[in-house]
Amino acid sequence: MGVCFAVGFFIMLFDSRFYTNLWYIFYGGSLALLVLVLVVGQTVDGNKSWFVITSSIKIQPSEFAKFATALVLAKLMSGSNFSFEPTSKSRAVFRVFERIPVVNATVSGTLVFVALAIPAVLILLENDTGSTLVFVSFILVLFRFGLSWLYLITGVLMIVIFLVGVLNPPHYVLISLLIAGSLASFIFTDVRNGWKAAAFMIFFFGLAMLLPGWFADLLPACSVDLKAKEIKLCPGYPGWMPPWLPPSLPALLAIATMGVVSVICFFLRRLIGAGATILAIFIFLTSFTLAVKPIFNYVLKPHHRTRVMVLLSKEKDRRGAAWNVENSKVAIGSGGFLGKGYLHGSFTKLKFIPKQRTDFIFSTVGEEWGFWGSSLVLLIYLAFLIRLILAADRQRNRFYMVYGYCVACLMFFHYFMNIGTTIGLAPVVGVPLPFFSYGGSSLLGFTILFWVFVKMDSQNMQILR
Amino acid sequence: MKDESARKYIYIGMFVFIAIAFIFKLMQLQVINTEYNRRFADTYAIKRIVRFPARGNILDRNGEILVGNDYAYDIYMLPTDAEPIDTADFCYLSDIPKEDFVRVSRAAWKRIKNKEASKTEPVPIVRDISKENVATIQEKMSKFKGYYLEKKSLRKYPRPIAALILGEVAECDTAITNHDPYYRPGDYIGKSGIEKSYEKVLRGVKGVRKVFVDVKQNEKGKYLDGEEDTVSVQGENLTVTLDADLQEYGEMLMKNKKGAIVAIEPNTGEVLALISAPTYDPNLLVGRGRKQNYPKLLLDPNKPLYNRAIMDGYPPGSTFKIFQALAGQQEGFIHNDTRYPCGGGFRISASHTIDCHGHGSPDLVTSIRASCNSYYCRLFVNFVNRYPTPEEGYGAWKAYANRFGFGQNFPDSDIPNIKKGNVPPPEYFDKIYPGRWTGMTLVSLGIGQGELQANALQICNLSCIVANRGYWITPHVGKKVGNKEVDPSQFKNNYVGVDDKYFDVVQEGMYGAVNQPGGTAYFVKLPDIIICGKTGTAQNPHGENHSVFTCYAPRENPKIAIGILIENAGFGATWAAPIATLMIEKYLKRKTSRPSMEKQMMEGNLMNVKKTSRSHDN
Ligand SMILES: [Zn+2]
Repeated sequence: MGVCFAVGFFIMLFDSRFYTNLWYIFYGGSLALLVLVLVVGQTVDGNKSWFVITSSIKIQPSEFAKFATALVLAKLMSGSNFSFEPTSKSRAVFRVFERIPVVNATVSGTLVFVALAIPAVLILLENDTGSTLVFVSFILVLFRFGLSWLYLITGVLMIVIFLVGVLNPPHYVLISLLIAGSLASFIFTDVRNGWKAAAFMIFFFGLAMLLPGWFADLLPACSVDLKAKEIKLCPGYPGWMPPWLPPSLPALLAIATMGVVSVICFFLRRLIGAGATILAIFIFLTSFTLAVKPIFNYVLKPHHRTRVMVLLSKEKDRRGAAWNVENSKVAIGSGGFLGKGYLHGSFTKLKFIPKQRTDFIFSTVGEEWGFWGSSLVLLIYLAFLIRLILAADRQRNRFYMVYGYCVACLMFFHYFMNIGTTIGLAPVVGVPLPFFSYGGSSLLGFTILFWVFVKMDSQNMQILR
Repeated sequence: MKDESARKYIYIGMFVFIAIAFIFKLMQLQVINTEYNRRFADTYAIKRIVRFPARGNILDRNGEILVGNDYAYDIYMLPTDAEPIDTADFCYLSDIPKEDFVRVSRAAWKRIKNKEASKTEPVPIVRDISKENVATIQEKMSKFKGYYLEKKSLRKYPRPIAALILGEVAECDTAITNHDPYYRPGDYIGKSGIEKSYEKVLRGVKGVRKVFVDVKQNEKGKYLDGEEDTVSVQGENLTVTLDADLQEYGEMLMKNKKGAIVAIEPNTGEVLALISAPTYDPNLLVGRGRKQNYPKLLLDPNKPLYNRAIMDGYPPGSTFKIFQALAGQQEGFIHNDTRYPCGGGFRISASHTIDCHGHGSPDLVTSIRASCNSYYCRLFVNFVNRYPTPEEGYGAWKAYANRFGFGQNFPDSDIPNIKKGNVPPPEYFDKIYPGRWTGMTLVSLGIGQGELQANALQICNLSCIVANRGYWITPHVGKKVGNKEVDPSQFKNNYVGVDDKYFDVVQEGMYGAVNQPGGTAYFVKLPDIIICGKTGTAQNPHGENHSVFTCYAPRENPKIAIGILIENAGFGATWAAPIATLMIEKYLKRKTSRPSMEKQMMEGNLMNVKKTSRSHDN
């Protein structure tokens, strides 16, 4: 704690140009640490992502990589030439590259993804799924700076289709998709209008949250045999497949089909204009629907499969993987409306839930403070996140603005995944709750991330004056 | 660049939506759907599955098993699973009276109803089914839903001896479970004797596994991922200093008598035998029989559950003269040739005389050998009167007695519950003879009578002091834990504060008492073992006097010291001395040279002796 205050104080001492100019040192240093941790790091909870200095001082370099990556994104996206869509401003050399229809991307836009991918891959190699997903969540920032919303919509729909498609026959999903698609095209007429776009997002997120979280039990369920080598959910698949084919072939075929179809759709988009976009997405999603089961059975690892089943409330065996989530839900539920009072939680006292001081800290809040307390925490977070977005958006300096959005999106993602896990609305990936979870590295990481932005914001105000 | 500022509202919308979704889910979990609330109460229980290690065996000094293990079964009922059963059939099968079954199960259900017990906690219904009987029950157990058998370990005594010193293992009560978190209700603990003092060694470490269970007691996973689970560690074998053969022999000799024998190896303080009579077969108090046998033993007027060897005891009688002779010499007013006249008694007052045989004018050796009362009455009075006040004089005398082990309870011994006996403090006499007592008032203490109380252990220890010429090692029973010797330094060398040179006279006197004509125990003289001893008689106002004897042997390099106290046996030499010498023979030669005396002693019955005549005190 004391360390974090000291760090916050130091951050305020430096001019924010210190961070804007030295971004490459931070980024390079972080990458070097991430490589180093792969070599000399130690494994804690299955993740080889820790430098263990003493038994009580452990450092996870991925926490600092988040900060460095935010600086890099800010640097790359604040350049005057930056754009995700090809424009006339692009340099002549790159224009050739941008004209290649399939790529359909700018060099500056591609660089952003490369800058994200390097730390993400390194962290994936550490076997730290949670932190890898955090880097994927940086993509959220990009939509503010010109990346088409269609990517986000497609991504969210893919998640929904995947979760629903795991439990249901493909035709069932396709019918839902048709209904959702026609509704979407109805609203799609002017998605660039901010308010309409917001309503649109709410609709699709609603779908994403409602279907797996609340209605999964109502959907026709298939028998789930978790002890079997592969999870057979629906009868009939993959019975059509000749036994001599390798089991991963359908998955590979499906993924290849997805790629081909999306390429074709992009061609179509060039040819017949914006109206084809919906068609392209629809065709892509249809092929994805067919690929859900092969991916689930043959691409995902068994522990990933169980996490999905836990999220879908199909895996309630408290002995196994659903253990943490079910207990967390019971703990939160036992808090009732008023809660049991500070330090009076039975679960907390019994240390019922593993990691209850870090990944499952919200279950303690829910048990001890009840509905009003946990709702209050949610609302405080919401106010904090909105305040961050507003503060980021008013920055004159584009570097500061991108950085601010990075901070806001990272905080949001942690908040979403952490609390979502404890109440069963997100899969178990193990990310800390900003400023709540114990654990030196993450608290320090968030402190740096946040206070650097506060410093930038204060200098932004000086520019205004 | 087009204005994308409106996009911030999409972010805000996303955040708001997620927060609302979360709050809805929270409301569902915490307010609307109380299923989770209920499930907590109903289905979550942490069950401790305890693995009890086998208790360590207790071996005698020659490696023979004194206490081993056996096993038996209990029938438990799990209230959540229990269904109505055919009570008659159940009781017939498990061989318990129907009333017992009804009483036990009613009590269990009542506790559940009053919320004093959880429905998921198994209740013992039938205890201690022997392994011979369990087979038939096991077959039919499935008929009784919610009832199951559980194996447990019990103590077993291959030889039915040493019940009191070995002690008992029994279920712990709340007084223990409230104090020591290691024990849970129903756990077994060493309650007395060696089982108690070496509890930590013998019990081992029980293993505890904590698991979550649902209503049906099905395991639902490890509590805390097994972080707090422990493995059980078997109890260690304990070798004690007792000699099983000697102990058994002593118990046979003491059959139909009340009293105690303690045998100690003087140079180590190791207790070779600790006999309290009457005794009982320790197997009686194990398992099913306990319920009937325990009250029987408890109510027996001869008090077999009372360890006479370490109780408060009786006046030590003339054996106390040994101590007097040593203390007097150390004080410097008595030498070997100090003579006090004995005209057949010591006159306390016109109306009261302590009788004696008329020893003329004995010297110190003779006074011990012949046990002259007059000599020691005079010695005691002179001792007390040498000091300015009787309080000081008596206080000095008492300090000697305490150093000799009298009036103290050997706190560093591993024999639990040794009683102090009694050497009253001067204040005691101030109270009963306010302001007007002298040495003469207390003169009966000089011959080991009056308020004095000592037990067989203290009387045996007196011989150890003489054998060791000036010190005693705290009597103890622990010899080896596993393969490791018990650290001898934990048992103190206690110096009595009497110089080595003063012991010659006393040893000579004790030698004479057994080996010279005119000695009080001359008739138990052995041809090949030189025993030094001293007889005594404890005055008993309620009946025939108690017989006391203390001795050690052989004279050179002593191997065994014995203290013996037999109730209502009269003069010390008649019963106590022969039994003591038989014990010595048994220990040193493993056989007896006097089978007729052995037979006479074993067959003698002193249980119901009425007071015959006023015995003379020797
Ligand atoms: Zn005499």
